[in-house]
Amino acid sequence: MPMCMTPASAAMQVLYALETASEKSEARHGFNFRESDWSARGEFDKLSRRNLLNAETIRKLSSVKHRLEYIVKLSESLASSASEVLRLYERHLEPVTSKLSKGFASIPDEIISIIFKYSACDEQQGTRHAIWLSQVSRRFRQLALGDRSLWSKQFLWYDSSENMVKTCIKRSGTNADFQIVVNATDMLPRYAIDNFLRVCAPTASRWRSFALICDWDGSRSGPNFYINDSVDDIGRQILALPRLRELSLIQRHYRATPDVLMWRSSMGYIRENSWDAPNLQVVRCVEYIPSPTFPFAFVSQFTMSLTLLPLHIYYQIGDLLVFLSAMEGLTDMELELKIHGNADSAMGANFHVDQTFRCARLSSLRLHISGLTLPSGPYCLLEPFLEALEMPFLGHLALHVTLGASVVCFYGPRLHDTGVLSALANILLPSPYTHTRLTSLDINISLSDLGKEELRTTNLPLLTIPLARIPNVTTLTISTFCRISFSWEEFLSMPSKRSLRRLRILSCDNMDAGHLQVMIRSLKNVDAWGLLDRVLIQKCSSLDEESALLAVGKERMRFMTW
Amino acid sequence: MSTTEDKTRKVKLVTSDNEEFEVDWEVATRSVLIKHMLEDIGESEEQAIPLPNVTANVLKKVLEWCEHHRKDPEPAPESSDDNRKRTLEIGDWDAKFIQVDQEMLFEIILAANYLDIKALLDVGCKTVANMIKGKQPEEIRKMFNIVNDFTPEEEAQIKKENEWAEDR
Repeated sequence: MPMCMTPASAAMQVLYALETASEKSEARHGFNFRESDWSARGEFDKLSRRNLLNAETIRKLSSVKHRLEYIVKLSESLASSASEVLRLYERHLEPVTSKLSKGFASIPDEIISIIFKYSACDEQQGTRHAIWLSQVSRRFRQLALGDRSLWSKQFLWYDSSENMVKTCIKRSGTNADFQIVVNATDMLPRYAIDNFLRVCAPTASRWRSFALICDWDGSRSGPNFYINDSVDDIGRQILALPRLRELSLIQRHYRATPDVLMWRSSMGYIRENSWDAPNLQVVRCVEYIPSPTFPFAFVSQFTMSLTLLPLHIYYQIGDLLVFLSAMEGLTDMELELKIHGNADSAMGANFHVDQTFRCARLSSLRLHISGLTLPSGPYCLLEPFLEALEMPFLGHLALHVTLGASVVCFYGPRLHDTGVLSALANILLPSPYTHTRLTSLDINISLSDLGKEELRTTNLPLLTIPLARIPNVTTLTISTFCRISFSWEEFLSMPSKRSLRRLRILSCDNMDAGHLQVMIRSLKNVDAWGLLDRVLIQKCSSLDEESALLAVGKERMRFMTW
Repeated sequence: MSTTEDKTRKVKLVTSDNEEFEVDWEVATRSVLIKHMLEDIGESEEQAIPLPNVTANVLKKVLEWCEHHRKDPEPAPESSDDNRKRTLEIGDWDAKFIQVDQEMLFEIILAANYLDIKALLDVGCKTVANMIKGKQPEEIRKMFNIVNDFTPEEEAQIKKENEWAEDR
């Protein structure tokens, strides 16, 4: 103690020193004093070693003991006054914290972790969102850093930094599956993809999925920079990817000018396989058809969404057929074809496919078509396209056609008696000669919302299903705004076979009891009604269970409103 | 698997504030907890199931959800969280159902967790996830009254992280 300091001011210095210590975060984790920290302890050892309890030693020991008693008293006083102040703070904060005990404060950690997982699954934010979560509060930080899966989605954005990618990789631990997303935009220099892959390459053995999303609006780089270039950049990397299961190649907003959509064929590109991905099963493409030299011909699942453009549709369909026939391992395929600006009718009669393209192993096809022009679209586009596809093992086919308001506007009140939708159904159904294994068929013909409005002014059109075209189908699901009927037109050299056993009428909101009876009568007329085991009527809002039961009979019918 | 007899059976539930609810067996057993308790008490129909962690107004809301989803198929066996495909989509009816104030939203989440109704828990968690999605830390704090309790040293560390993010 300095000479000028009184015992009281020296004690106050202790208090100030403690307040200073408490400002440091480590102090909150506790601090253990050891006996050896005390000079009194050293003094004790020194004095007791003398083994001589003379008056001087006893005086010294008593003196130190007296000082220690003072320190204990002082500490108790200090603890007591600190507790008083603490209680003051608690009393003041209690009304606030009790309110805060609702919400996140009341939720256990395991539920917050589920919420984090859901919020971090957003593809637009990825690990960026995990970083934000970790910066909300100490509890959030502890939970976010403790969940390695939150950090296993690696994104390359135009504003990604190498340090941040490295930090996220570190936080992901050593074994979590990785999802890699490269978001290439006008603002991303091409070398950035190389740099990003170099940083991520040490984790390649953990990549579960890889997505390349190319999004140029043409405002900076113009139309010369296309997904093909990025696919090349990525494909050049030599990577061993034993866990890779999904590959997504997505082209967004490729425009020559802000108003003109563009398309560029990949046919000239020769792909070399630098990736060793023995377990890759799923490929998803959006607005991009890979070249036939695509190195993963043995993937089993393929999904594609493609906008067909007036000036490019001929090449797009041609490229698609060539690519599909090159994919030798495909068993499951989903195609979404969005027809833009009457592109299908623009094809005219020019489009002719003079060869068939074989999808040798394909067993399931789901085809979604929107924007179809009637009556020309089915003849100019769908008929040649579907006739060119040979799918000898096709077992399940789902056909979804969404018609726009223009179709209803064009035909107006005549729509119901044109037979145009029945002609469409006829074209959509695959040839019974080559598709002998087709046993399950879904037909969904719907109207866009605007089309539904227009339909109010006209009678319901009739959709006739030609049963002879689907001789092996045992399960048929129909969803439509039309009335339904069945017909039978013999095919040359085809046996008169009726396999249909289960009929499901799903979400046919315009079907009432009268329409149901007409449908049943048509099935009786073609000798198919008696063979049915089950008729499931599901979510048909204009039909009540009693009327349906009356028409179908209780032995066959199952009725569901959900 | 439920029998026809089960479907006509009624179940009595008693909340923490001592309110009694009588509901169809099929509705009540959307809750795995209640289902197991019913299995334990056997055929004794008169015995009420106590739910000490759920208040009447929350149970009413939970039962509304169970009633709507009474016919839903049994949830699939628990798969690994990391392998499960996560999506933030919520069905139209569920989205409307969960439009409640924040306090009720968290109460529903807690009740769904306690009653072990996984699908409802998911709806609640997705709703909160949608609320925080894309929001920066300060916005999340404001939205949920969360106190920023970082020490100055931790704040400095976070600031450093954000500098990394900007360091290109």
